[in-house]
Amino acid sequence: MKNGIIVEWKKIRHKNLLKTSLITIFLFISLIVLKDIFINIRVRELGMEHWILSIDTILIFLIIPVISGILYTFMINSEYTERTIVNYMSAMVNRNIFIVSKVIVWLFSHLLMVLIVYLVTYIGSLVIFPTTDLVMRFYDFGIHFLKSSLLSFLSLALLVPISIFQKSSYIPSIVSTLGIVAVGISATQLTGILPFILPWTASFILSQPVALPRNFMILGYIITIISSLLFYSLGLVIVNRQDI
Amino acid sequence: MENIIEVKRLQKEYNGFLALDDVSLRIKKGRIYGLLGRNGAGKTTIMKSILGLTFPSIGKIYIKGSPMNYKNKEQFSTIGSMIETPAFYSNLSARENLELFALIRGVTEKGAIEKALDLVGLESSSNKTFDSFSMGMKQRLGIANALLHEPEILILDEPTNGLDPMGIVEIRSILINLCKEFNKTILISSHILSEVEKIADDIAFIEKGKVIEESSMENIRNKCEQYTSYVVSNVYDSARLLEENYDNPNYIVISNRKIRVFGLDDKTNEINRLLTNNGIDVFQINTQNESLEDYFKKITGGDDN
Repeated sequence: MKNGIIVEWKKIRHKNLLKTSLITIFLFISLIVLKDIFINIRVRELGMEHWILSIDTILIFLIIPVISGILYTFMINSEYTERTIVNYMSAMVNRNIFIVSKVIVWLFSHLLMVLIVYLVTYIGSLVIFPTTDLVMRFYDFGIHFLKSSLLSFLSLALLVPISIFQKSSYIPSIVSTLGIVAVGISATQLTGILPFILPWTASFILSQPVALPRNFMILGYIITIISSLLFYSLGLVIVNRQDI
Repeated sequence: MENIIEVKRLQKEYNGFLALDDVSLRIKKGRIYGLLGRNGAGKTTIMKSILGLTFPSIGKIYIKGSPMNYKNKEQFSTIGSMIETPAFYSNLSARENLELFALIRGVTEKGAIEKALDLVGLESSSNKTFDSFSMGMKQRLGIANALLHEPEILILDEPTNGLDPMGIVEIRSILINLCKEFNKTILISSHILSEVEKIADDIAFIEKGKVIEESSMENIRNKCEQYTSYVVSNVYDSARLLEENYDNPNYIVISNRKIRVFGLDDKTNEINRLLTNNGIDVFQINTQNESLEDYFKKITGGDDN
């Protein structure tokens, strides 16, 4: 498994895909934070929670999932289009390792993207909402962004079976990414138990720094975690039955 | 001699299409085994089944006497392969590509990559990336990758595909060297019959997913009949004259100027005189053995593509 992960990491680094993704995220978050520091003065009146919520919506549940989904699609589907999967599978005994290694490297890349958002947001927050307790804010932001990033990552689990099933076709996986993002964001328009029923809306709602009914929260977490586990398992079942 | 790979009654169906139909093969240790057949005959599917890339619907595969278990790492490590076109990561050099595959296979031996590259005549220090490789270099890298973990068995799908004549000769000599010097068992496939004829010790003819014939090259050579071909001004009159003058003559009209006569090699002068005396011009007479290609055409009853 360890070697599989190292190989996947080397591949993603060599392809410049991750570098491009991280630079894009850095540019986006920097522009948003600079805009809120110098132009959008009203953000100070609305408060830090509202500011974090807007960054969450734009970056963690819109831009990062789209980039992350595309990154994953390329990680899987390029193996099929370039036929490198033939060499890979005939060198590797366990197909599960192939997929799990990719998902782990994908998660790591997703977390790296969120890390950039976290650090830039933290620095920006010190200018917009000054505080004397730097460590406490760093910790609070850390916990919040870690939770958001894991939830947004889990909401993308559906891509695993889709990309494997579609082999060399990139389109279904990319369209699904956009669909997941659209459904996730639509959670803002739903009320009551509704946003907690679908894993994509549940993960969005659960990441918000707002008070939620406890029962709904538990239901949302269960649905998000179980559905993503099911999607990962389905991906493994498909790859193990697939003729390469 | 020990069968290192044994394929028994293999069948593979893709959406109602029977890609392999009751395929049985016996591949002996330390020999080069050629799978021959047209494009789409099922050669690659056989190789993929042995490698666990595709799962047979029915049938069994034995490696060194034990049933193939796709989850058995030890059994799998005895095989190195190159299937379809050599596919590697385009933005990496030969060395970098092999480093990845060495990691996957758990090859820890120092110098294994250099050794594999050296065997196929590729430079390990070159920074040239895979996308700028010539077809010959790609094929060599494919073979180097197959050799990386020093397997006993090499499975190579059309290793000379897309190569220029010099490249074909080079790959051929690499394969012969691997078999003779390093005692590797090599299973190769090709639709170029003349190519396999030059290196294989044993062959199997595959046609529409079935094994038409499995035999040693020596046996096939013995079976290839001697014939005399005549290039004449009128093949139809020549055929009529043969029918009239000999009992059940065995001949094939190859083209409108060429006729091939079997079993009358000692009567070449007589036939020549017969034709010229009847006003038929004879431009050329040639006595030779049937090639593997001719034999394949004969047993499959059609033209090779």
